[in-house]
Amino acid sequence: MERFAVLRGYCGMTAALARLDPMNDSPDDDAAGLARGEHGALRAIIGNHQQAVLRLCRRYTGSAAIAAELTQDVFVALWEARASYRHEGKLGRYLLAIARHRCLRYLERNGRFVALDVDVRLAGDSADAGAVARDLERALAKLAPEHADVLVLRHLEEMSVQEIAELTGVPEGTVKSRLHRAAAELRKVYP
Amino acid sequence: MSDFEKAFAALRASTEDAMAAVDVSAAVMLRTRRRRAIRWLPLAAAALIAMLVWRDLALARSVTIVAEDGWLVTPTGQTTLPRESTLRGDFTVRSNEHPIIMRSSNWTATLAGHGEAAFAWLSEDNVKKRSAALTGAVAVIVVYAGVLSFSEPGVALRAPAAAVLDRDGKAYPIAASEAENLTGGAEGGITVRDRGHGPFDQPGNAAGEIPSGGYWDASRGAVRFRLAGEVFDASSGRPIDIFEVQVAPADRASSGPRNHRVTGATDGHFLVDGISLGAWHITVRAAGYAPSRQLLTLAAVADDPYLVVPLTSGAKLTGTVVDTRGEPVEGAEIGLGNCKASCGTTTSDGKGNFVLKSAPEDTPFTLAASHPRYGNAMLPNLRVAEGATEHVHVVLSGILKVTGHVYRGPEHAPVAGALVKGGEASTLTDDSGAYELFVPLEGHPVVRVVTGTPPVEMESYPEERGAEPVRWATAKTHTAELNKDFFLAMETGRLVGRISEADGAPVVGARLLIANTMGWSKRDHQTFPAETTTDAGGRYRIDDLPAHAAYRIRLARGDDEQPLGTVALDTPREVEANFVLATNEIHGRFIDVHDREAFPMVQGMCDGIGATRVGEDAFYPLKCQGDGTFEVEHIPAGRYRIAGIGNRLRSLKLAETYVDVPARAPVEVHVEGERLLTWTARVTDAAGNFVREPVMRYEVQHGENHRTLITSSVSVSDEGTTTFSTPASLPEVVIEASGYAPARVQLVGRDPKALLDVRLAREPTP
Repeated sequence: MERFAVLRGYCGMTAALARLDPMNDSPDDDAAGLARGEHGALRAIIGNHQQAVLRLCRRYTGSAAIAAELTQDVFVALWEARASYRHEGKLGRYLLAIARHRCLRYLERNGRFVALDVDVRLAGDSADAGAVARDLERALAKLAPEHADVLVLRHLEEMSVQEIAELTGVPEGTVKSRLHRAAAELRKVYP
Repeated sequence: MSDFEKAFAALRASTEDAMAAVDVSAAVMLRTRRRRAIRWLPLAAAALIAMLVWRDLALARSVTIVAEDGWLVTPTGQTTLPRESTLRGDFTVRSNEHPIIMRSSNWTATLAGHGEAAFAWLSEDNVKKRSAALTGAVAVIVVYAGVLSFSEPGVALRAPAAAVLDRDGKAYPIAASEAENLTGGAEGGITVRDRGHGPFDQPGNAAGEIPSGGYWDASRGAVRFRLAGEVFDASSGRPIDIFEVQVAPADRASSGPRNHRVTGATDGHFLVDGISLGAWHITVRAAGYAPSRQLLTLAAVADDPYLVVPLTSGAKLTGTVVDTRGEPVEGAEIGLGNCKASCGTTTSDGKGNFVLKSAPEDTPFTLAASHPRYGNAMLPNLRVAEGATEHVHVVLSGILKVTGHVYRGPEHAPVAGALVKGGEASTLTDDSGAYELFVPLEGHPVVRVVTGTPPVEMESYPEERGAEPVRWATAKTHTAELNKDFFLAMETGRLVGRISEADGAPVVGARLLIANTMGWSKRDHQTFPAETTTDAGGRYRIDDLPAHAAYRIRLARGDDEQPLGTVALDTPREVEANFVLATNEIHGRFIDVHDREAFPMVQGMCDGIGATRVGEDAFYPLKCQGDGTFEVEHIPAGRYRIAGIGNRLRSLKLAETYVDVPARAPVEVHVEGERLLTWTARVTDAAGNFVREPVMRYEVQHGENHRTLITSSVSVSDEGTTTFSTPASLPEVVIEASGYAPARVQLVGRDPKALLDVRLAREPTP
């Protein structure tokens, strides 16, 4: 249960949703098959985990197209690392870490895009929420990748500070100070 | 819920299921496994082309393959390629970590980075019938992923796949009937690459059907994109109507429209058509705004780039850089003071003009300019209003050539290998002790020599700084010249004396602690004896004390310490300083000669005033208070002279005052002098350049024929202002700096609280 609680945190989902959470290791995950180079195993893993990776990448990059791109890279990377990957029941977390790394690298090279589809999707919602979300995307786009990083993990993925620390491999204190700085930076650019 | 939390909640909700419709499995499968259809498609296409157009398939041609960890792909699976092998006929190879090098009789190709390439062979003769442009290519090549590069110049390829791109971004259709030739440039080298997304042979979209995004341009036989976006004012959020979008390739593979000007009522929206796959720098400019540049990578036909471009009002600083002769200087580096690397710099052009775009808006900043041949300049306190443009005139300081020798000892032995530093420049003396150094001619250049272990450091320290013998030069390599020899003579003196109790009994076996108070540091010594002990007669003796300095002596008995007094070792000689442990005191007051009011002594000045028992060398320091009073404590009875110590007197204009101190009774004394006024000035040259290390100078008349020149270097604050003190009655001071004509500044009738604006004119160049 303990482990599930942590994993649930990673997914930023409510307890009710956690049962369906693709970031939890699915019983379908066939790590052994993956290690043997079976494509069926990879396909199943993609099916189980791609939504969480896509969502994370979408939130980092602001672009659905780029997110799809990076998500492909994540699973190709998993495939290429299949021989050295040690399955410890934390495949979802492993994929998220790869995804985060790839997204940050992408942001450092290319910056962030603000997708128009925020408006489109929220058409049925209140117009205000759409504008607010778009303003925030614009503001996030102006931040340095390391600042956007912690904000995405904390406020969009809804991870706890401890979970962010585990995922990023930095001390909790550092995560907190980064969050603080990132919020301050965001305040400067947020309308 | 704060605004932030609301915004994050909205964005979280909007992105929660944003990707629900996306499935990357197919693409990943394609990239991790050869899919049957894809594997066959190019071969089938190639075979089709071959069979339809040419009867004769030349299958005998061979290719030498060098591969570290490559695979040979066959219809039934894949096998590892040996390190070196020869393949004939059609084949498909895959590269993993290491590139695969393929050599034919007339071309060499490298397939790099997880690439897959299918080769279909054609008869060279038949190919030539088809195209005169073809000079030697004989393979139909389809690349699925990775990069394939050809190193032979003039090589042409038949490229049936849309995924094949040349380095100009030209793409080629996959249909055999639309096969085109691809020719390398004169310098050779064709790069064929696929972005790893499989074929994208979508039907073409009629213009206007899709507002933005990728489409198949049949006329070009290539994928093209329409780039949409919006431009708005970052502060108000209002759309900007007139702007220019410039699209420039960020790598060699990108092609498309280079410039796209958008004007008129567009409500901030733009659409640029015809951009190919690749990386692009999108620069958006609008009048009154800082340009915005973004990198856009179009990696897949599915990309739908929408650019959001907030523009901030940009401040701009333009200027002209000239040398001391007024000639424009090319190649001067201009940036913000203290922030050159991170804030960006610019360089002046052939006419000395520059444009600095990194100037902060509406915030004071310092402009720094430098040129190795023409010197430096700093302009503090510049301010450019938001969105405005300011022009400045920058006069570089010029370069001072300093030459001289470094000698040691009374015999003036040359010191070889001594480090001589000036500004950021440094050099070593040669065997004859000579050096030559070029330093920016700013203020009074200080040259230092450092030598020995532990290092001994000595500064050029002219007695009268205002009279430093800097000469204008006619040479082209420098503006002015200065000759400066250093004499590292270790001049020392000796201190002797007797310590006695108030009743005359000797103080035996007490420790005396020596501390330097003024005058010698950074001259030619690093250390001196720190303490000594009195003998049976209460006498002490300290050898090897650096001369041209003053020392404070304290007496330590057990845990008790008490100050005795200060001794000036003004020349290298023996100085006798006797102290009597007494409890007498002088209470005094500084009185202004004009208004007869008490005035406080500046602390730095107070340290230079002492009470000396007539006939002795030691002096007892004054403790000055803020109300203009002072005390001298722990002194024996006798007649005392209160005066400035050594040179310090000159800047004080104090009347020498004598006072008799009786035993066991405090005495009151008034010391007449002149109240000091503290002035704040901003010293600039005619062009507004901030003058570094200016010197303040004035003369004080003593009695009939005695005049003292008082000079003081003036420190400059961050705001570019300087402060200095003068006697209240002083009518004028002279402010000067090397390379500038001295300026006389009238002080009469001026309010010391108001800022003095001092402009220095450049000295005329001979």
